[in-house]
Amino acid sequence: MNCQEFEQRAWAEPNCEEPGFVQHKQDCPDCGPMALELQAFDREIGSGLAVDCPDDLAARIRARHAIQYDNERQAERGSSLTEMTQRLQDRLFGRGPAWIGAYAAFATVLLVVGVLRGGLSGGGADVMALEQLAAEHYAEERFATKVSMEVPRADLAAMFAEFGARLDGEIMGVTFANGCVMEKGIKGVHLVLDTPRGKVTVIVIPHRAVDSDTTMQVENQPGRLTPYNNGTLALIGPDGKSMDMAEERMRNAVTWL
Amino acid sequence: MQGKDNARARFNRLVGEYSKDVFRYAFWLCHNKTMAEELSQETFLRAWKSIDSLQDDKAAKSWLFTIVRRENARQYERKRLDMVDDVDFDRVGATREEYDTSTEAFVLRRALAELPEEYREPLVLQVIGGYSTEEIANQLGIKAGAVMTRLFRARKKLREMLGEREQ
Repeated sequence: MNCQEFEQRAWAEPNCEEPGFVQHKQDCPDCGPMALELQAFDREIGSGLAVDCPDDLAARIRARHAIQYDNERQAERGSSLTEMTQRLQDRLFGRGPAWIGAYAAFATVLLVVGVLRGGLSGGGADVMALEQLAAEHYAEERFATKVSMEVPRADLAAMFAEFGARLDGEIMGVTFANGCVMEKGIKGVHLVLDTPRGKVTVIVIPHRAVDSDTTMQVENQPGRLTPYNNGTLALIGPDGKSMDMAEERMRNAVTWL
Repeated sequence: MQGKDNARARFNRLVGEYSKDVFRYAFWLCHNKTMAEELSQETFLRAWKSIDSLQDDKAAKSWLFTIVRRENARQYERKRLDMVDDVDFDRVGATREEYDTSTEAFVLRRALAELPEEYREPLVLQVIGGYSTEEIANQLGIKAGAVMTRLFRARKKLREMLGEREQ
């Protein structure tokens, strides 16, 4: 390889490992330093191209795939998820056309009609707003209780890190997890935990705390809001015992910083 | 059922291993973070549908990048009327460690964004994907010699642009 060939190659592929290129780089007093300089330039280009990736991207891909997988299995059994569930998925992942607005309106109506408040101890407008938020989110992602996905611990930890909480232990029985925007850009975590008494939906709403436990009913299921550090834990499950189990798992595994 | 479960585990492994690279490549194809996220998700969902066609996981990255390119072309067709020219660097996450927020890096990113597409694409494949000239040629459907020329010109042009800005 002569100097001209080397230069051509170095500008096209500065990290070339072909023997002729490597030999010339070692032997030629002019070309060697030029190649080193181009390699350094390539590292700069690499850092320029290193656009940061959203922490929860892998988790969202897995969540979406879990739904698709579930649909495929349902289809294999000769049935499919309902049209409503499909729409909810689309809404979650932002792929819906014009009916989104109509669905949002429907969800709001559903809230007004569907959120039947039980014996409350907390009371107050803020509690009602949080109940509404939890019920709305539950309705929007109702499919979440129907899927079963593997959630790597690192993905789960990244979801909690978004609002300054650390995952220290293992949250047992996670069958769904997604870092969701709750309101005004505030990210929370939506989990579904499998317990011996059935699946419990757990929604962590950071930065908005209830004063004390508040019971509620969401779509004929019991639920409650409970203080969770500087936020609120919304639990919706088949009964109080199942929600107790889910709450205990959350408190044991997560540390607020 | 066992086969499905294995495929699912394999898929999840690929997501963990390659979602970041797929996102970065997608970003440099479409220049928009939101679209890059969507593109990445679509890419993996399409990959799932044909995961049985991937015989060797060593070829997974190349296979995924091919899907990204196709999917981008498809989405570009769909959305070209809404496309914006500006690259949304200010929204790509300026607080994380791996993302260099220095002025020099910003200037470099701008220069990369301004490179003609035919020069930038092989460069991105080489630097992000770690591909050889032959592999890039296969990806882009052009001859290896043409890839060499484009890479040569891409770096020359980039250096020229950065030099001009320094002056």
